[in-house]
Amino acid sequence: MTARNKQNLDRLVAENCLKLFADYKLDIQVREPGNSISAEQFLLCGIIGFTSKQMRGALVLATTREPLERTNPAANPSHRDWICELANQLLGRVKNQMLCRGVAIFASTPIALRGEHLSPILQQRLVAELFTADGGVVCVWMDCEFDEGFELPESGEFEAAPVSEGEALLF
Amino acid sequence: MSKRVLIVDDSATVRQQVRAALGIGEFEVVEASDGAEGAETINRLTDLAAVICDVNMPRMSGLEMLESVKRDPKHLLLPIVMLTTEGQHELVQRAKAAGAKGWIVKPFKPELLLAAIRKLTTV
Repeated sequence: MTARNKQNLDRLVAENCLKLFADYKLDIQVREPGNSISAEQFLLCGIIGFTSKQMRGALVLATTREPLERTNPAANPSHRDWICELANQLLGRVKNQMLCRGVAIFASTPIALRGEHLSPILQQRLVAELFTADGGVVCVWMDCEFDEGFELPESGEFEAAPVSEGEALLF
Repeated sequence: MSKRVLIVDDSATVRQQVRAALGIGEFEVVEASDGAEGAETINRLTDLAAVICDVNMPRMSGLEMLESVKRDPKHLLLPIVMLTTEGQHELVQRAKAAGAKGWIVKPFKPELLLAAIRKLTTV
């Protein structure tokens, strides 16, 4: 992964993670660099694989209990189901932004994992962002590889998705 | 009498959200957790007023379900709305060509979903 691709994807994932949680009325902030992550506190992580012509990998979203509980809109919440749906909605947003950059991503169905030490391998050059929420932590990372020579554009040059998040189009 | 609406989504949380959005009394919500179960439910229940359907699901996708259901002439008038994270132009066009009546991108606004279903189920 080139440094430029990493930077562009990092920004895209972080921006969309902030928007996703904002839509569920939870204000999260990017964590200051240098703050260590308490990986053992993560309750669950949702993983969703994806592929495209130019890149492939997985998006991983891990959270502590509080952000999951505060955003879950269901009356009888299932944490497993909700972390999967959040990962799915986050990748959906990234996918729609990637379309404007000429990259069509195809996603698998998400899965949830529970573990004692879930964390990104920060010493590797993965895209990873940590956020703090009231009383909790959200972490997202993309473990992916790009084709040799592929450069992810900084901004969209292609037609935007016909419907944005939260909007409806009736035919 | 309340109208019966089917929600097809592999997320139980989304199914609960839709149930809450459509309120109590006006609509009776029935559920299916993938496209195959959705198609089976549509063929079994003859009084459905509308269907809300996810796209990316295990076993059978929402678009496959839509295309399969709309091949049967008796379901031609059944309004089906896609509720998904997908925004790809080609997928929206494929759904429209297959006979879908709408496309909503998650996370959805409950009032917007309710308005869409009311509009599509009003004769």
